[in-house]
Amino acid sequence: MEDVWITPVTGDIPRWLEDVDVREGIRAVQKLDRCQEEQRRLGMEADNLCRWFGRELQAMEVALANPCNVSIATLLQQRKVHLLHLKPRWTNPLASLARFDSHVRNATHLATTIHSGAPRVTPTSQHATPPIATTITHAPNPPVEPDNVPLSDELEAADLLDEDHMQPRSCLSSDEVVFADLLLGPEEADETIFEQPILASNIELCMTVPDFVTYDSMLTSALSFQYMGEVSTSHASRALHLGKHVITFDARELGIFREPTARLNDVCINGVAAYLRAKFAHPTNEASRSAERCAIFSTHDLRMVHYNASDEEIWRRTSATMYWLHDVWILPIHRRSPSEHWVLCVIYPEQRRLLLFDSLAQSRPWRHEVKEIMQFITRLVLAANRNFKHLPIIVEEGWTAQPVTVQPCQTNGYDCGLWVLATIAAVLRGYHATGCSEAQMESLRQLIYQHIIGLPLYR
Amino acid sequence: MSQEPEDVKPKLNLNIGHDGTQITVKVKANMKFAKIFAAAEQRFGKEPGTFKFTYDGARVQPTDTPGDLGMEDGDQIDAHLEQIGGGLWPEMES
Repeated sequence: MEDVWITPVTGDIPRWLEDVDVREGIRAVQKLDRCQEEQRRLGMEADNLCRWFGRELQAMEVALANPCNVSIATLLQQRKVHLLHLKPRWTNPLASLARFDSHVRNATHLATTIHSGAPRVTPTSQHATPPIATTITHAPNPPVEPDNVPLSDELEAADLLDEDHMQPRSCLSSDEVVFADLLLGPEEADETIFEQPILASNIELCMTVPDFVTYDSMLTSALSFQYMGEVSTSHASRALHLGKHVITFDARELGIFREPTARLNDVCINGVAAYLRAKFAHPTNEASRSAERCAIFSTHDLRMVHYNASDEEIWRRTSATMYWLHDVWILPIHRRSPSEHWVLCVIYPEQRRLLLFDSLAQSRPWRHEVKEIMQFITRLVLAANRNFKHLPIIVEEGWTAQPVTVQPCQTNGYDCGLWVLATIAAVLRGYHATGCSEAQMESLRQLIYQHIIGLPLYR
Repeated sequence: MSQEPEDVKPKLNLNIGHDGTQITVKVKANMKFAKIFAAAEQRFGKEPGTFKFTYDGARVQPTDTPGDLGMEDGDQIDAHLEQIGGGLWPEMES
C-alpha cells in the first residue's frame, strides 16, 4: 500500500517545506502578530485606566458640587486629591497626560453643568468593579432629568461607590433606539468583527434627526462655473494636483460621470471628495473656513477595522489627512451588502458625535456600522497620540450617533454616490446635510463632470 | 556581494498589501508597474485588472515605474478592490 506521505509531489515543493528562511519567517510573523495583539491589549487596559479615572473623578466632582454633601466635603476633597495624584503616576505612553487632563476638565464641567440649577444629586458613574466592558447607556448630554431621585437624600461618601445608586437612568423617549442594549446580544456572536467588546459600549445610536441639523440648498449654484478657454472633451486621464499628491480620474470615472445612470466607484467618491475639499478650502472661496476644518478619509479606510490592521498601517494610510488638526472628520463608507451602496458618516470628535447619512434612510445597518466606526476612531486617536500628535479625545464613552435624515431621498438604483458627494460638499460648506432634491442629482452629476473634464490632462 | 556590471540597477523590495495580507515583490526601478500588478494579482489569486494600487494614497498607473515615483526599498503599496455602489432600493427594511 502506498504511503501518502512519501508520494512524490508533482510541481514545485512548497517554500514553507523547503526553505528554512521561510519557516523562520513564518514564526517571526506570528511572533510579530502576538506582539501587536499584546500592544493592543495594553492599549485597551490603558483605556480602562483612563475610563476608571474619569468616572471616579466625575463622581467626586459631582458629589463635591452638591451642597447636601457639605458635611463630608473634607473626605470627598481628600479623595479627589488622592485621585489627582494618580494622574502623574498613571500617565504612560499608551495613556497620555492629555487624556487624563481631558477627564479632569470633563469632570469639572459635568459637575458645574449638573449643579448650575437647583441642588441635586446625579450619579453619573458606574464603577467600584474592575474597569471592564460595560453596556450601560449614559444619557447623551447633561443636563439629565433626575426626577426620581429624592432631593433630600443625603449621599454618604460610601454611597458613591454603591452600584445601586450609580445606575444611570435613561431619558430617551420610546421612539429612540437604545443601541447599547443591543450590542452584546446573541446575534452578534457570529460576527467576525475584531473582538473589542469594550468599544461597543461607548456609543448610543438614536434614530431621530437632531434639531440643530442645517441643510445646504445652494450647492448646485456654488458649483456652477464657466470654463475659461478651451477644454478638451477627450476621455484621457485627468489629474488633480494637491501638493505632492496627484489624484487621477481615468476614462472609467469620466464615463461614469457622463452617463446619467452609472453607479459611482471608489475613485469617483475619493477623487471628487478631495477635489471639493480643495475647491471649498481655497482662500478665495466663501466656505474656506469651514472646509479647512474638515479631514476626509478614504472609502477604503474603514475596512482596516475589518481585518484588524496594524497601528503602523492605520497611521501610514490616514496621517496624510492630518486629522488630529481638524475637528470634522468625513468618512465615506461603502456597503457591500445587501446591495452595493454608498453612505456617509461625519465625525465630530470634540462633541463625541456622529452624524449619519444614508440616501435610502435605512437604520438597521448602522447598528453594526457605528461600532466599527467607533473602533476606527479609537484606533485613530491612539495612533495620533502614539505618534506624538496631541489629540485629547475621549473615546471610552459618551458618544452619540444620529441620522441627518430619516426620509429616503433616493428612489433609483444609481444615485447614492452623488448623494454622498452632495452631503460631503454640504459639510465642507459648513452645513450638516444637503438640501438637494432627487431632481437635482442629474445636474449635480453634470456639474461634477464639467469640473473634472476641466482638470489638466494627466502627464 | 555581487557587483556585476549588468546589475547596475539596484533591485527594490516592494511590499504590496491587500486587506491585511502582505506580499513582497523584488523589482527593478525601471520595471513597468503593469508587470508588477500582474504578478501581485496572480499571487493574491485575483483576475488581472481587478486591483487598484495606491502608493502614499495616490493611484499607481500601469505605465509608471518604481523609479518614476521615487520608490525606495521596503516601500509599501496598497491594493484595493474596486468599490462601486448605486444603492438599490431595499426590498424590505425591518
